[in-house]
Amino acid sequence: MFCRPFKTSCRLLAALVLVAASSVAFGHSMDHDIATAEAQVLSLSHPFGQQPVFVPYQIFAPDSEVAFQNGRTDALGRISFLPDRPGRWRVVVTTEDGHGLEVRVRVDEALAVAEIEGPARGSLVNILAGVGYLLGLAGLLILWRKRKKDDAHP
Amino acid sequence: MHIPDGLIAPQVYLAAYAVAAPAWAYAVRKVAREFDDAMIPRLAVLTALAFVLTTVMVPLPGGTSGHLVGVGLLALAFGIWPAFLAYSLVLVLQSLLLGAGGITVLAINALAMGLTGAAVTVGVFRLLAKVHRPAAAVFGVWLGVVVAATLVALVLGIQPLMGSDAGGQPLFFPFGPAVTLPVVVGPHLIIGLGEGLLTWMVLSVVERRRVPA
Repeated sequence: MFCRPFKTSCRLLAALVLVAASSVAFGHSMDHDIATAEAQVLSLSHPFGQQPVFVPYQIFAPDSEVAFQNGRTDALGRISFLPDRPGRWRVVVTTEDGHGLEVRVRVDEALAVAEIEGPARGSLVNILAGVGYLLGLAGLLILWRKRKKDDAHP
Repeated sequence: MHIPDGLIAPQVYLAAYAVAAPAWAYAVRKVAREFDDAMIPRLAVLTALAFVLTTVMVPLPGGTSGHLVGVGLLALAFGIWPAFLAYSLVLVLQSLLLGAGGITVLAINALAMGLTGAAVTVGVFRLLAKVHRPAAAVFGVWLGVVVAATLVALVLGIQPLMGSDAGGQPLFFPFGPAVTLPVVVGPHLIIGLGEGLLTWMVLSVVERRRVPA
């Protein structure tokens, strides 16, 4: 007689276990949440003002050789990332034709960008400086050779 | 086509330095022995011109850009070794002043463009100059540029084999030769032709104005 309520209890318990198990199965799905945060945005451009679109990049956290983030630039040639620790972060951009860029971003304790180090940018002043260095070097070489000759045949 | 820093594995660029160092030493000795005081200003002026030529960017389809290489001019005017030395200097200045190329990859860029590019240009020119001098110069420069681009593409293309992180991502340049060869060499088939024509124009002016010895 008292076996019937016991069976019902057993069925209820089994049902509960099944429900609990199905919630565990949700662990295989992906949950999402949206938060507002201040990301760092690196904008890239080619010399003619065009943006390198969907170009691969990798971001390395300080003292790490494993990428913290990798992906492709967006349709406007931008990379955004959200540093989670202070230090010197490395952003490496590589185009398929072997051009690329390595930018080092120093992030302070407040997780804000404190300093950016990148390669020198081409400018007319730098080009003229290069020409000046080459001509100056040739002048120095001629003077040095002349002095050497003069010393040999005083 | 300059490879920048950060894309090449250390075992590759250190090996390139091991090859380039004796080549630079030989080039310095050769220039010091064979160049007189009248030749040095000519070398300096044409090296400066090659440096400026490399800063002229040409827009290419796909949103990227290319530039002239400039080594063919030096190779035809002065020969392989002076061109290699002068172009190495151009690469140093480009890296330090313009952010093009890099110091760790200097030896790779110098060997590919400065030495191989110059050697191919001079070799082809010597072979064909008796047949048609201007065509030999244009074809020589074109082939020098294309061969240099092919070498650069191959060096880039082997980088995925040089190491990957725990997640399997390449540590260095991520694309293989199937991508790099068409993407790097393709535009240089056109750039090389433009460079060949420009080089011959400059050289014909230089040869007309040569000071008699």
